[in-house]
Amino acid sequence: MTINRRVGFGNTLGVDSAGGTSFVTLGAIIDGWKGPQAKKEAIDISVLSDADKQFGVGQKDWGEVTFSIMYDPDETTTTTLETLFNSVSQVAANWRVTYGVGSTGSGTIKTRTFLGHVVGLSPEVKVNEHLMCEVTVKVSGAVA
Amino acid sequence: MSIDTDFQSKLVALVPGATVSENVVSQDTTGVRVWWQRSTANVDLLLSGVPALFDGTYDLEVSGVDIDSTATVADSLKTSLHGFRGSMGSSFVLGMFVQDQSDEYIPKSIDTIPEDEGFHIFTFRVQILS
Repeated sequence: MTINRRVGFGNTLGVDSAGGTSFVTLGAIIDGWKGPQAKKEAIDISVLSDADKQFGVGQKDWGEVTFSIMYDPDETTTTTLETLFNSVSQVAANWRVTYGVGSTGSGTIKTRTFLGHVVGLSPEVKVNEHLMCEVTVKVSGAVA
Repeated sequence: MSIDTDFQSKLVALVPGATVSENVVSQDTTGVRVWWQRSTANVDLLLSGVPALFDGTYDLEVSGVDIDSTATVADSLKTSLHGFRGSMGSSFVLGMFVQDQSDEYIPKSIDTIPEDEGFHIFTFRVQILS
């Protein structure tokens, strides 16, 4: 078994606001992201004669991606996300996660893409800390 | 070559005018001295026995009698090492992160209290993931 050990440092999250493939890397993400937090519905298909419960599966919900950025109203990461949040377009932005190479430089750079809307922006201001903003992206459709 | 050897080579390349010593104290008191020592080196194991991430920490001290040149070397090293990712000799570094040492840290590269001999010293801790 060969496992390429990978860490979060060096991974990137990019977005094409128009839903295409011209991704712009979000450079102000603070320390990583969480998600997509995927779930699949489990459907009880048991019948009376079953001694053990039987389950099928239903639709997948790829959930949300959440992360924090350094908030700067002049900077591209912030303005891009604010524009996406303020948009009423039903066309979802295209997002791309890029996983860097692993230990010893081996393993290939891998990407995952998904469509999603920015559905949450939550700036945080504290007296002696840099400005932050928590961002929530709702994934629409599948992660490929 | 081990990651320690590669780290030594990287430090030498980063501060060509300074004396860089691993675990031994240089007797040269004229210039800026860089001293370092491996502090911890841990490799987690997966349940299958396959080694996971190498997580090592290194104590690093920069000392000298001239505060400006010593601070310049210390700042330069911090800037160069912090956030480094990529090949380092025969090793591949997934991430290198620099932090100041804790208040409890006692410098090891100088025998006496640094101020007694007119030394200025900057200490920090380097974490290497590989």
